[in-house]
Amino acid sequence: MSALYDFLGTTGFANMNWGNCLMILIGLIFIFLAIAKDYEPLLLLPIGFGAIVGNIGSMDSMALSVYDEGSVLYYIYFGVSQGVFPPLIFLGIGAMTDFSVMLSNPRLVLLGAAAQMGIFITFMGALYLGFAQEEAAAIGIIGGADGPTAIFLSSKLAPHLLGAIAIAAYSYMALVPVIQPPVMKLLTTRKERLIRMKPPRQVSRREKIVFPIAAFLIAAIIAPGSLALVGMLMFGNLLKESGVTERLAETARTAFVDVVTILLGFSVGASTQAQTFLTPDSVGIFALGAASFAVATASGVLFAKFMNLFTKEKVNPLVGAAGVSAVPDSARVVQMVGHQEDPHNHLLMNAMAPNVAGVIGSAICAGILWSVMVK
Amino acid sequence: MPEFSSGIQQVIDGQGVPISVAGMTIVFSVLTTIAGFIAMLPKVLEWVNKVLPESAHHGPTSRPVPKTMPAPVTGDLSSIAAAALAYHTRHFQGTTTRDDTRPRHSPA
Repeated sequence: MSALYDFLGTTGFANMNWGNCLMILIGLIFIFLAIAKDYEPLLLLPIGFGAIVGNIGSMDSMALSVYDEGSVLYYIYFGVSQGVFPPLIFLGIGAMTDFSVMLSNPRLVLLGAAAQMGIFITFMGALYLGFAQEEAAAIGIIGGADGPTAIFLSSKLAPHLLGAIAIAAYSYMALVPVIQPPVMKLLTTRKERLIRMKPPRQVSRREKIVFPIAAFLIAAIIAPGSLALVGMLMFGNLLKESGVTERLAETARTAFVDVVTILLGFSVGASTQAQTFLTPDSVGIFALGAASFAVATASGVLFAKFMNLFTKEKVNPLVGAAGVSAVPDSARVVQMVGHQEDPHNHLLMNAMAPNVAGVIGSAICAGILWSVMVK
Repeated sequence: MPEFSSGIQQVIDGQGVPISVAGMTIVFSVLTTIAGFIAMLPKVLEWVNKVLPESAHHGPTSRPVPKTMPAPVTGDLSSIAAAALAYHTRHFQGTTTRDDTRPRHSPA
């Protein structure tokens, strides 16, 4: 009989608290949002299930969680905690991304830079709320709207906040269609929203091949901290555009990136144990995350309006909102908002330019913040 | 977060403003350089193309078409029909007469 009692003491019932139950509920909500609402299902579903797995209570003497050295989950989480997975994801993103639109209209690259304002405003906001400098930098990168970049920088600067930062980044990325439209409409007039832009020109194969090499050299030489992320992004893109490594590019953008996404999403979810996740810090991080997305969107839109003061060929300011690097969701939001005003105005292609520039921009910001903090 | 003091002093102590200004300046510098390079690229490649024509390189366009794939149809249907007629006329003259190959509703 005592053996039975001993066993009951090892079950999840005996080792769980209300926090674990709450996190399991959050995991279930993520799974619901992924399946029923189609909100970033490739990420929310693994994260949601990981959150459930990570919050099953167990005895301290059993190595089960991502934080217990020697457990299976610990080794999977190694790719997150050491920042291995994000550059691998970037390789896949590079192999998927077509930079043609950006190459055909280079001035739209600047919108990708302007939207990074969200990162630095959030950085200052986090400092204001009392976070340490490294923590504030890791929180600030949520404003880049780029999950892998947020995980990469958090793993380097504030590993103890990684779970909260990753969840905040991915949650708000899923909520881009909710957060961005009000900001975009608030900052633009109907006349501005009706501006039509020229369709992108045809880009030669050589331009597409030269671009990833040159862009990497420029970014890595000026901000070496961005080497891992921008390097893998551009390498993936070169595999795609070279035309001679189609097999590698195909693998990078399909099976390879899928495997890494599964491992990353699941282990990030499993890292959200109530004991480490349900803290006042997490509340602050979530509040700052929402603000950072709104600020990043506003910065892109306002910069597009600023550009229109000096250029003959006007830019639809809505396109500026795509400077946040949630690819391709923010570009889709631009198309949707533009479409509401004029059903014949197709902004999607033009919005993809700042969108992919935003990916490069947020990776560079991560590199800058990392360099500054580890000086 | 709970034990920390918060406020403007934290932003000043954490060098929030200088880091942010420097960060934005660097991001703009990098992306402006990239944008400038992209704008210049077609002109540079125009010159390069004169020295090294693009067709000299191998790439996806020069890869052989798989045997299972049918040859691409590039002409319009009338020219294909004309070519088929010419082929038929040349190779099957023994089995058919010119008059047979002429369209029945032709005014000629």
